[in-house]
Amino acid sequence: MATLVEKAVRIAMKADFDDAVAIVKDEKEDYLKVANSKADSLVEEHDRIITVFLAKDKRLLFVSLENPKESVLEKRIKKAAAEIAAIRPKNDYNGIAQGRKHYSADRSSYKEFSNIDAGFLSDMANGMINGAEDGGAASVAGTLYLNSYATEFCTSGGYSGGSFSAHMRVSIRCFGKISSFQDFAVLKRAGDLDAYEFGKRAAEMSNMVKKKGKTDAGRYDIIYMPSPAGSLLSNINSMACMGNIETGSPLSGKLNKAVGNGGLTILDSGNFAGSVDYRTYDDEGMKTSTTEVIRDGILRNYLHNFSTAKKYRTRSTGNAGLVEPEPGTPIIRHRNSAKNLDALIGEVKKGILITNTWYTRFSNYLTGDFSTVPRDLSVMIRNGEPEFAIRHGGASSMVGIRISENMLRMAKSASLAGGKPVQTTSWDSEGDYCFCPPMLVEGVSVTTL
Amino acid sequence: MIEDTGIAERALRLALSLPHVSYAEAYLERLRSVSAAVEQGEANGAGASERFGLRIRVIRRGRLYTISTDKEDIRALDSCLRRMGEFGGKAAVTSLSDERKENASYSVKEAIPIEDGNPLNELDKAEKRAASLGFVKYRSFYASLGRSESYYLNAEGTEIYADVPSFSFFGSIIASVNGESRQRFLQLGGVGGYEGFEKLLIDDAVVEEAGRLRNVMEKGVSLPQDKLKRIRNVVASPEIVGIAVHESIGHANEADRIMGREAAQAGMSYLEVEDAGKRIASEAVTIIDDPTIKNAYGYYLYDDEGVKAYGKKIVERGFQKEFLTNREYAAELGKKSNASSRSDDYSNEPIIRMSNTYLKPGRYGPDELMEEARTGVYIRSFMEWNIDDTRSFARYQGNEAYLIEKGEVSKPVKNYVLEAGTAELWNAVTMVGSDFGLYVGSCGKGEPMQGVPVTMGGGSALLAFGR
Repeated sequence: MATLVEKAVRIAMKADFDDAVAIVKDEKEDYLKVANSKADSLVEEHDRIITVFLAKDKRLLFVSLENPKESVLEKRIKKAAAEIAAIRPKNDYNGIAQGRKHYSADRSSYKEFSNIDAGFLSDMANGMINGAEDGGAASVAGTLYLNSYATEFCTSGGYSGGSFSAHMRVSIRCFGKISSFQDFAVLKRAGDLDAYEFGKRAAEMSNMVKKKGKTDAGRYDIIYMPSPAGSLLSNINSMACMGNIETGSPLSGKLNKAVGNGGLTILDSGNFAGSVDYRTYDDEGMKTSTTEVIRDGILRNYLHNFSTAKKYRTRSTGNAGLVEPEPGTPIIRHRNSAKNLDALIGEVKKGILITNTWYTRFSNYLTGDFSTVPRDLSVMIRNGEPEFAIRHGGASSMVGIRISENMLRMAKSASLAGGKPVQTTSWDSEGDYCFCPPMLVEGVSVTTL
Repeated sequence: MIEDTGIAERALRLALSLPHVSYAEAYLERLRSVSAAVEQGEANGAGASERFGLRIRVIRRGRLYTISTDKEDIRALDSCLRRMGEFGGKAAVTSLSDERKENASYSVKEAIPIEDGNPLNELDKAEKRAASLGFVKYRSFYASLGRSESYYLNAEGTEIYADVPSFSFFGSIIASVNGESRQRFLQLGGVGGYEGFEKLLIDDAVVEEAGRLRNVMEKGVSLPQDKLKRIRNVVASPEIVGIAVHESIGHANEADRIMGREAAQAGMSYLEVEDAGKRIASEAVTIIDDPTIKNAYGYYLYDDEGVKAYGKKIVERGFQKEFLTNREYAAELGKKSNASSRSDDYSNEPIIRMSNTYLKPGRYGPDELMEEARTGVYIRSFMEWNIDDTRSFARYQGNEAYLIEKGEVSKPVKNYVLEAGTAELWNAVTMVGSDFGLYVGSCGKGEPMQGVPVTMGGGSALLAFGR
């Protein structure tokens, strides 16, 4: 029996569209919020959305419907056939990928989480809170997030298939006497995290430095923990997407030129083992792969879908989103690495350890100028030793410093890693994941309150 | 208006029939929108979206649950509600403030129904005019026209129907002159029919902003850091005042943030509950959040808990006056809710949000502010901004800023950045202008991140630092 997405494509082709892609995503998300050292509230969301991409004479239309009946979907696609005439053509549109392949779904991680309920999340939250309190936290906040979804897709280019995915993301923010500390865990299996130990470690980190102090504005060597390093450097992969290259990116016109430190390599992967966003195909059915965006500091590739690849006479990198190329999972590596974070701290004469940033904003996406605000534990380092937690305000989470930076300067000044990349995220990056190690960036401009 | 509200009524009855449920409410929403994008002259596709779903909030044994589904099938909802798992151990007990029972229906007048509009027309006009300037090298324009129809009812008998059409525009232009570039984001929007979208005059706004970027690049000066640091008098335009009001006063006065519920997400506040009524700004500062401003992007008449909205003073003559609350945090504070509970759509939980937040205009003309400043900087627009998570230390980059010399606006300055502590900034306000502007934004908070439509603005302000 034909699936809904197969029917959608069939209806579209009958309605005389040139290209059609239909994707249906059936998703369930649970959020257990922790605040003031208590489980605060539970949110459970279920939705099923079908998105149909339609093209006719280079005119493009996207129709998105929530849990439609088949008859509603058919009516909507037929209506789109009339509507599309009013849309101006996208003259550089070159169609969707053509081939013949069916991708079968792997249910393994999906099954892993299928029996988890609020009771499990609650037990985990309590474990995390107990661990944090035993570790010395005065107050604990966080989120336990469970996501599972099933997708099916079909294209008029001959591709079809489906996938299942599930993962958990746990965040904790501990408030200690001197500082606060936020950490994230990304799980492909529920048993991968000892919530008590996770909480305890976060609390211990918030009390890692016993003294607090102020610092002056100036240039510092900065060690970014994986979460801030990853959320900042991941911008490189967005900037390498062809749509952004065309509308203003600091990577425009720099293919095969040095854009980063000679030891820095940034990959973009759709199918990196262990990645939360692992998938075998992109939105138009091309097999996903791993693309070198930067290899040893040199910009090697932009990220393409079929249409942009044809325009620029290259191959799709398997980065098709329904609208334009989208990054997969950034994997950030450095050829030069200290053994671990402690060893990396040992390399710094005068610097700051940054454990979390937020509110990254660009003043110019063409030049890559931006600023970002450290929050939580930020440690002054002198002669390879942690000296004090930087605090310019009353609250333990109030660091009171700001980093002003340029994305390419940051990439060029990223001189040393502090161990292997780990999968990480941040609240600020809205659920985007990447793999990144701690990273030392030299000569960063810092201002203070 | 949504007509078939039967599923919401059945869902509410079902929730209230479950053991240990002390409160329930249902929110049904239909969202329809069309959108268009134009990038570098190419029409980058049009979109049409239709969503319909139901949210149920329940308090059971003191625990707060929010469940949303797009399945128009009471059996599916029944299964969700019955599976509602227990979260125990160290868990918060939620209670709600007592509120008046409301029964209302409201809609927004439309001369041209929003569905009759095509956003592409206005984008094409803007693209043609911006491209013809020659120096606007990169152009991305996006617009959306939509309608939210909702129906809310709760266990206490409150019932609200709402029908709110809205429109929005987002543009990014990068102008390039003599090897230098400057970028500007432009957000416009409102609530109402298609005539409101046309009245935005997007093309005029884009061309004007492009010209301003060019002027800064061609005529602007870059000042040495030591000279920038010595600038004590700053005249902030309604756009700058608006972002500062929103980030450092509005967010800081959200009761859920003050009381720790957002601690792992959008952060905390420099205020504590005990700071109610404390002086936090100069006497010239009165700040209002008013969801009832007609056609403003943050408009609503009843919040997402069915509480009637009104304009409330967050700060009055420099003193903290009222925290923003929903029913949960109003109960914590022993007060009535001031109708600040909003969700970005039916699928997410309603949380405390701003609406249209502004610095109350004063009695001075903008020229009088310049005259009083004598020497300093006038900052008109920003591109980059941020603030720490306690809302104490903000930065607003002067995308378009000018020197003030002899009490008048003179040449543009390219590298001015207003970076200041919140207390320092708001205590420095000595005069507020009689001019007024509201600027559109999408405010992010919560997890999952929810972006809700807001405006922010006010009158211009003279900040005299160190006075």
